[in-house]
Amino acid sequence: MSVKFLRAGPQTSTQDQGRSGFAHLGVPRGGALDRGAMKTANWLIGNTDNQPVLEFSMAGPSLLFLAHTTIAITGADLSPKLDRQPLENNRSYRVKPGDNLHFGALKSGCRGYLAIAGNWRVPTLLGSASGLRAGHDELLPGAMWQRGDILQINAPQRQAWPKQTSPASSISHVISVMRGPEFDQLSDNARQQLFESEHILDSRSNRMGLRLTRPIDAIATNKQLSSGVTPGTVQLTASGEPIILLADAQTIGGYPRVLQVVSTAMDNLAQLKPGDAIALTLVE
Amino acid sequence: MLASTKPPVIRAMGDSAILLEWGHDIDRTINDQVMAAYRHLASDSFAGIVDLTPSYASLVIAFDPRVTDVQSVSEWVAKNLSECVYTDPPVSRHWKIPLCYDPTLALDWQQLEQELGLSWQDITALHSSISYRVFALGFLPGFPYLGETPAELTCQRHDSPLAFVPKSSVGLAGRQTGIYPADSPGGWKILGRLPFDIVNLAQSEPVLFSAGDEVSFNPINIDEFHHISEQHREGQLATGIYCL
Repeated sequence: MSVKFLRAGPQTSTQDQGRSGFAHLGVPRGGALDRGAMKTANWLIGNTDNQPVLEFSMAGPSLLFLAHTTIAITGADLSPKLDRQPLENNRSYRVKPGDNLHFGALKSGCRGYLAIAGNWRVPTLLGSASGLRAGHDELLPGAMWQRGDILQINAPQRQAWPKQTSPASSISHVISVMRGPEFDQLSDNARQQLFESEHILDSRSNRMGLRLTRPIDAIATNKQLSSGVTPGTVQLTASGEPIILLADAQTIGGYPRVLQVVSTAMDNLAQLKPGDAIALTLVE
Repeated sequence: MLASTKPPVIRAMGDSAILLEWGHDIDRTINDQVMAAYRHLASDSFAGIVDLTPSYASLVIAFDPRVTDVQSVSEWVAKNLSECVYTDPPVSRHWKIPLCYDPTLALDWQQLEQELGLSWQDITALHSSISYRVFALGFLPGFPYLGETPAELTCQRHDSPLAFVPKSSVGLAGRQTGIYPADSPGGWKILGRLPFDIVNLAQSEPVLFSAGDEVSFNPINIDEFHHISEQHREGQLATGIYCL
């Protein structure tokens, strides 16, 4: 079974559960940003949780199927169509050779996921098929898709029955956070700025982190020893810019870790796009 | 060896990680304790642990909150730390590696001369005069944070990072020196380059250095740099890299 990329879209990558156990070497965890959407997509087509999916951001790929298979789309609603037939998110579809899956306008969310039934024949690095970048270098170039590429998948033994699920819960713009290790160093004014006004996601946001545009009073210490961070850590830069770290973030950082996003809010963060307004709410 | 040392402060970092902190100093003895704790925990499997991130004076333990929680992980850590007191000091390696300080590779040599008020000869002699501890790996996969440099070499980062720092470049920032494992943007002031790669993630030993190792630099000239680079490219054992 193979699928040809007629168009890749700007940020289409292979993603799976990512890499764990390599943070001591400086290797980020990576993996799908919206784990729930990935899991649902794989469930809909009868794949196990370990199979990779395609993740795309704000614009989708255009794919030509060269064999019969089953697909499902979850996450952002990017107006998917199979040839001329509009498709819905959160249900499985049979496709046949010659079918063209393409996407249109972004209606909701930010990151879309496409699962395709079978065993993906994609390269892995340190136990994961997810993309991994170091500076300017793609360390697993095969995870980043380009026009003309062919994705090979071993067809499953038998096809899953068509399935459907209710859409994922609506996207929340209120993000629950807990105190980070350096929270106590924030001034009263900075706390007010963080919790009593809304924040806009900056256009420089990416898989490494979401940047918030409204500056916060910075912490007046210039000596913070580099220490571990995780996806969900909110750093406050020396210029007072809050950054919510995501899966591809570096593993240690030298900025104060003022907040930590609660784990159940991480999938939701993946569906927020530049320009969206969010509010942070402190929970114990 | 660790019997007389202070235990770390243990704190929650949200609902999916805990932080162990041994203060806020750059110090080999403290880093020894971090690495001993890291090795002890890494060798004792516990359901739900996702990542252990040791650094200068801290260790972050990330876990899957669907499998375990802050209290269970904290108890597991406390039990291991009490056993850790009686372990031997961590085994560290000492690397001797070639480094070329030729101005054609040292992108910031003029700025460094000016900022430090020293001649290039003095700067490179000072930099290669001592051995450094790998306090942590991070920033990029396999990037070693080495310290501390002689006080005379204390320098600021670039105000805005260089767009392109070539792979294997060696830089200075504060009292640290570090090695770029990949072509990357970078804010450290570049004073030379290694004639070989320090990271190959496709290999079973993906990263040359481990946190806790010692590294010293052996200055080489530009001809030796090209010679060793070529050996390295052809897959031969590059000369001049020793692990004691």
